[in-house]
Amino acid sequence: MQALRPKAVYIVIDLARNTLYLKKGSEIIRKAVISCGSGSILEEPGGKRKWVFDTPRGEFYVKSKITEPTWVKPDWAFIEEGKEVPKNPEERLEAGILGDYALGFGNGYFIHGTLYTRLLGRSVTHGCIRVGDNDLKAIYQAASIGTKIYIF
Amino acid sequence: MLFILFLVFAPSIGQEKDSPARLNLLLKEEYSLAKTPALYFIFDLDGKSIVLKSKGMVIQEWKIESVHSWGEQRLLKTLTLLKKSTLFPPQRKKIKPGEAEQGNTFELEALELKDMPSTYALYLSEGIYIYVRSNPKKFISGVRSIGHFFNWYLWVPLRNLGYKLRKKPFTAIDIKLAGKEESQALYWALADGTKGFVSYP
Repeated sequence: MQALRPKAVYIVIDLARNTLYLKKGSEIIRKAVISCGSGSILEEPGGKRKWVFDTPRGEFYVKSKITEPTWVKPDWAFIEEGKEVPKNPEERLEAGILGDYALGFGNGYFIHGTLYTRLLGRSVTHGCIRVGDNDLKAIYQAASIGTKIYIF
Repeated sequence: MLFILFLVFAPSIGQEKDSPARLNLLLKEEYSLAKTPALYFIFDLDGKSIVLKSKGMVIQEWKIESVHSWGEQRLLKTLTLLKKSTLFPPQRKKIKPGEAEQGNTFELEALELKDMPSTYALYLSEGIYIYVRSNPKKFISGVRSIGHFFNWYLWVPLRNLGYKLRKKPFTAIDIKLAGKEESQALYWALADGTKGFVSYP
């Protein structure tokens, strides 16, 4: 079973306590206060679609690393604000709100920065993991494509 | 009366604690879970701990303060958490589209640790029930403890008897964790469908 364990650094995310650990073996290299999914439900008026804003659980791995990420607002972001979903893709782009770095781990979920640092420690996101600037930089530098992420 | 007591206090079955066969079975069961990308649980009743693991690695651990059981001890086997049951399950908040844009003051609407129950039952496959609670600190918790007492020493033994008479397997385990937050965190961490096993003393 030892062979199954990650040899390099890996990330553990405790959703209940909104805490991220960067670890190697049993050693905690860095501990960060984060924000995770709120668990709230959004239903599209007319009842066509429904979103549940949970952060997924299980084992994942870093699939992408991005600097200065731009948020491509999904449909739910407009519906939540009571706005029309735009037809022009450029109207979905919002720069500067995801921080300096982003690590993707699949299905549109990212570990990224935030403008709302006062809300770190609370479950306020739509599923992504928000991290403060300094912690995010350290995690981005330590992690590579394939770094394991365990979320519970 | 003696017959009823005999049925209620059923002798345990299972292998000798440190036998190579048992340890081998334990490792085999765990390896089958560790090979998958899913997180899995182990209720180690002898070591008095509950662990959430992935790839054989402990992700989170909870210490058990006390443990009691009714019914049969089963042979080691992978189980599935079918459902969690509690009197007041946490409710997800529904977002009203456009509410944030109407200039309302920001109100956090989210499921958080404090919304999780600290007293609940875990229904596992194979007829295994695990009752989880924490040390009572306040009056309401104290009242819940009385309720638990009647449940554990009256209702559960009757259920045990009922299952025995119907020749069906039944195991009930009562676990007390140190603090309310520990119990809440366990409820949060174990999602329906999570697999794992119970290791008896």
